[in-house]
Amino acid sequence: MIHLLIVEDDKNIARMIDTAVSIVGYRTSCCDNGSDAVDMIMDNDYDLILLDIMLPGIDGFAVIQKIQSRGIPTIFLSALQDVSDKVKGLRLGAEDYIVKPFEAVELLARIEVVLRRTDKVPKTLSYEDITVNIERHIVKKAGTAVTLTPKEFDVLVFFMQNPDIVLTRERLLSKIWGYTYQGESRTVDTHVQQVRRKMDLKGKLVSVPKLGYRLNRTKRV
Amino acid sequence: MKLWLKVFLFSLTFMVLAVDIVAYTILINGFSTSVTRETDQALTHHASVSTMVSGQILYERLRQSKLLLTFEEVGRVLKETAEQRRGNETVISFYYNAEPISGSDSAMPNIDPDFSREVFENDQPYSVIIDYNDKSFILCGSHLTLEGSDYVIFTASDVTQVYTQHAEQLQFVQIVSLASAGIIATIMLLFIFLSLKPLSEINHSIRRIAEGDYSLRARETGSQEFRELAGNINIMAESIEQNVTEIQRVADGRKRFIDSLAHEMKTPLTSIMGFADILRIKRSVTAKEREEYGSIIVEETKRLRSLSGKLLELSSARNLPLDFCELDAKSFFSEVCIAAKPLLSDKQLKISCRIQKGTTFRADPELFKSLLYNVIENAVKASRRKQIITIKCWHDTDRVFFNITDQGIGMTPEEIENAADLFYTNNPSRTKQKGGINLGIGLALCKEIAARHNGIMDISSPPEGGTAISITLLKKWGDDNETKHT
Repeated sequence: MIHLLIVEDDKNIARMIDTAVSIVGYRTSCCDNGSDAVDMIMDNDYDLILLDIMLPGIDGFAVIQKIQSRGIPTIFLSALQDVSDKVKGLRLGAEDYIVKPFEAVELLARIEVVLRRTDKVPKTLSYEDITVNIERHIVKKAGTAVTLTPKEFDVLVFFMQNPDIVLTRERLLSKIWGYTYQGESRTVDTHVQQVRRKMDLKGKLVSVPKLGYRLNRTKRV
Repeated sequence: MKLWLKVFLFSLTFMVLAVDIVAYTILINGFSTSVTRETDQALTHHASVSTMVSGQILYERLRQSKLLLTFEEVGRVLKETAEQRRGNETVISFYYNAEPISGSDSAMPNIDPDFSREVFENDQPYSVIIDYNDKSFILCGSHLTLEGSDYVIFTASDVTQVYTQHAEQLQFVQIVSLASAGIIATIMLLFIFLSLKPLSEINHSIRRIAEGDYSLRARETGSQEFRELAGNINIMAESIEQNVTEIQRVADGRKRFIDSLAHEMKTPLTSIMGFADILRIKRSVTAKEREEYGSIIVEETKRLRSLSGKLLELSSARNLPLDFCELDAKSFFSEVCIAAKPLLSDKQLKISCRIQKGTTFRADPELFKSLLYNVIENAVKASRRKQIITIKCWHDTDRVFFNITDQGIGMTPEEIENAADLFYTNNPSRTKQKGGINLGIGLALCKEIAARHNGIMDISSPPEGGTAISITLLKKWGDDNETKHT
């Protein structure tokens, strides 16, 4: 199981991040100051660190320099939105830099990207009798291969990576078709219906009125 | 061409010319003196030779006991005399009717016809300098009457030595002038380089300063001009450094303000946005979770509301026109205490008010109330349970004093120094530990209000704990003082 360390001095934000990441089933530890964070990182193995910059004691920039030897992927969370701060953060070895405030789903998506890039997540996903090999682009339903278009494949993978979370049409559009895509949200509906039909996900990949779609988790994790 | 090179070449040329002209003048002067002397000597010698020849003719006449010697006899004597002279420094030849009679022919230089004509036609002795056989001679000529006949006698004296000496001296002067030019050039170059060295140092320093090394100072050495130049450059560098530091300080302050404002506003926003999003996307939310998320959202919204309220208050404290009236301290403080009552209940704090009787002061009631409220709010936040906040107010002839003291956690000297800066966040979490953003804006607001009342606000915190905030107002100050604030 993926284990995250949240270094954030505002307890409400820490609680919010904790709640958000536990939806997708990550385990978390929390820490509210820089020096304790360094100790915790040195003593434990984490898959990812979410690091605030303005911290009591030593700040986030100092923390990441001290823990460089551990080689743990780090994402900065900060209210500072200057390009210079972002560049500084990324140059110090952070994998990503998220400016506060952010949506919970965006945080999850960017955590996912970093974990995938650093090989922390499995290359295969499974949901009931469906297995997906992300690298080899192979989808199997009960052992037999199913043919999906590339976009359909992306839609399926996105839902499987975010079970139990409502994904809005805008979110799907920006994630699968890119931010610049000018298409209508009907495109999303068509693709989701195709995926639902091909993978036989009726009643599981449900539409949520006024919001979007959700892939319901069947068994409790 | 560089200035030093120009000066160097000009001075060198000038000096060499001057030296040469002086040397040549002296040399030519000396030479002409010696030529004149030689000529005089030659003429004297010529005269003595003429006398000697006349003497010999007279002697010959006496010896032969004749009344007159014949032309041939005279010619013989003259020939003998000339013969005797052969090999001597001075050679002689005699002419009669422009015909040479005798002479040390080979040694005698050829006589210029112009010269001999002059001698024949005039009665005085003449002299001329001629070159013959690589030698220089002074040739003298004069009439000589012997035994009734008119003869001409020429003598030539060798003065080659004078000329060779002159040539040698000329050569010597040239060598000396060249050598002295070399020496002068070396000395001047050395001098120029030594005295211009500070200039190149100053140049180097200026370049370094221009490149941004504003703390660099030029070394003040060399002659006075260079010391002055370096001194002035240092003054310039000093003021540049001060300005840059000041600009840097302002820029840092602005950056800090923006960072702090971003932090103060975005922290509650992050929680609100995050929890709202979770409520929206999470499939099942239990009643307990909903309650938790909702209350966090409400709490953070309140924080934002308080922040925006303080910012508005600060903005109006700076910009709104004030409405001053005479206030009675006792009734004023009782109002403030009532307004502050809700703040106290949480920690079961008490306020003790000690107001000197008859104290009145001039202030804008709303704004001054806001000042005291903010100070009390800070005191409440710093206090621990069941402590007492003391308010004192007294006056003397021209001032009114306010003092609000708590028994709480106190402040470090650094915090006191920066407390009135907007969003003082040397340690961002600090504001939260003290319960919100109010330390960030509250004291800045108080200081602003005090300043608009022409008052002074001081913060002190003894090491044993507690913080005292004292405000001093002048009792009487003209309305004209107010105009500059509005």
